Amino acid sequence: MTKSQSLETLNPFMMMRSLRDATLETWSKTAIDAVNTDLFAQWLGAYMNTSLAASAPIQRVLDQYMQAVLPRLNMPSRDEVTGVARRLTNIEMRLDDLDGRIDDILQAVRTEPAAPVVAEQSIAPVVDARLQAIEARLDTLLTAIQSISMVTPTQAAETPKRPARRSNRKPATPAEE
Amino acid sequence: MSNTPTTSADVIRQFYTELERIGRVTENSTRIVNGTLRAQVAQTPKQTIWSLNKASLYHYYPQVPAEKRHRVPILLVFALINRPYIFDLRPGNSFVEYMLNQGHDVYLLDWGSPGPEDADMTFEDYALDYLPRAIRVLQRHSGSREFSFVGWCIGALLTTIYAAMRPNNGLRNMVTLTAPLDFSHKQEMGPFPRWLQAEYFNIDALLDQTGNMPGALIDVGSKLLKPVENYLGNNLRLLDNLDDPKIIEAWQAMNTWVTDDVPFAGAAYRQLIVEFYRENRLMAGKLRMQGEIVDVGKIKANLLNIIAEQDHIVPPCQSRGFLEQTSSADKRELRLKGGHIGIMAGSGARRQCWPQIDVWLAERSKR
Repeated sequence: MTKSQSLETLNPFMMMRSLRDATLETWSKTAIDAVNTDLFAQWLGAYMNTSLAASAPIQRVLDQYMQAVLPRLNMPSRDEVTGVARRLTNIEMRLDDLDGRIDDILQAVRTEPAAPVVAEQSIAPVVDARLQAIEARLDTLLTAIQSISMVTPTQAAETPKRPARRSNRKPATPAEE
Repeated sequence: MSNTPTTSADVIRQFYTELERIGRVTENSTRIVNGTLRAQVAQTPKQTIWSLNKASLYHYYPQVPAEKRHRVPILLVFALINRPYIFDLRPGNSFVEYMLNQGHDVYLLDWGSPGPEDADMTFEDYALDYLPRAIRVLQRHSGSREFSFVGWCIGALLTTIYAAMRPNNGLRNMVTLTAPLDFSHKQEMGPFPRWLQAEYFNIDALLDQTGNMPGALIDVGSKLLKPVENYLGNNLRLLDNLDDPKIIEAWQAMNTWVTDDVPFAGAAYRQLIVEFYRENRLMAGKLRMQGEIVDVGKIKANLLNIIAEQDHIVPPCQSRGFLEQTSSADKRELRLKGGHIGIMAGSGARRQCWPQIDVWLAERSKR
């Protein structure tokens, strides 16, 4: 044992503290057992009932007195204030509902135009390229038909002349018409 | 030691040390008594993003860049007893602060303090009216449809009801802390079921007079579970450590929270006593809300149920059978040493409990 330890052992305050802690621990266990009994539950219930029975007449008299006095002072009663508070809560609820609906609408408005823009950006060049390819093929076919009609003029005279197709994006000029 | 002091020198040194200590003790006790030594609680910066009646939804300012943040936001839901800043008790000992530093996006729902006009509010109002509204705002604010719950005590009971009734509303993960869900093990539940029996505890007579259940009465009820420790032991421990500023700070913060009680809405309190404590309706599958049975079997979110082994307010038996009744594919029960509050707000929470919640949620908050 070191000197400081021996000093602590001799310290009367430390000894008192140890004794106190041991006593408290014992009391604590006893108290925990005591409150976990039917007898304590019965006492607690009886104590509460007595307190309520004692305070009820006082509270009733006080309520009656306030109900008589407050209107004379042009002041609202507790029930009236409570009623107003409830109505305020209901209004708040409705406002919150409206807020929720506005959120839903805004969400829908924000998402709706986004889809076509994305579609146009991604699909338009592809469609345009395919249309141009089709036009090129039609031009090739037309050239081929014209060359055939030059070989057989009688058949070509019977076939109506079809104008060359152009891309929708380029408006036809009067000269082309 | 090379120069061993003599016994008399030791005694003199000890005497002066003791005098210094007495000086510090006198100063600190004077400051506590005259109220100049106040605890700084709930200090993490936040903004209120929604309020309805007495309830408010707070968003804590994120502490890490958006690209390093977890995608699924967390909603903290505390009990209807005492204030929810126990989640953010004091700087350096705050669950909120810890989770923000780990990259979580944290929201907190504060139920507020019900007034006489709220005496008719029930669990149905809290779980299926207020909670969904707060979640809608959270989803809009965070930009994420999915979210996680961390519910504590009655807060866990409320989140469980929500999870059972709205299983497809974006709830991805749920952490339940010391949750009072199963009231069937009356013998293991400590004194509460005994005290609250209909033959001893006249709930109607009490609420007829008070409207709401006064917070002070709830506080007395909780303290009576361990009367010597709560009324004597805690104060003596402070007296023994009046020279230690760290212990005083911790005690002050906890004492501020413990004594900051709020009333319990009357109708909800009646429900807690009759439908939960006495009739165990939730686990028996007889609890009805909005005309439907609250079926915990419909819960499919990922679940982490944390049980405090030394909890004397909500003993382990009250939530140990919960996971088996749910349909969740990913569920885990975690038992930790500690009490009802100490498990999350005690000095060991930062090492023991918080990292487990962080890791579990982080793994389940990815895209």
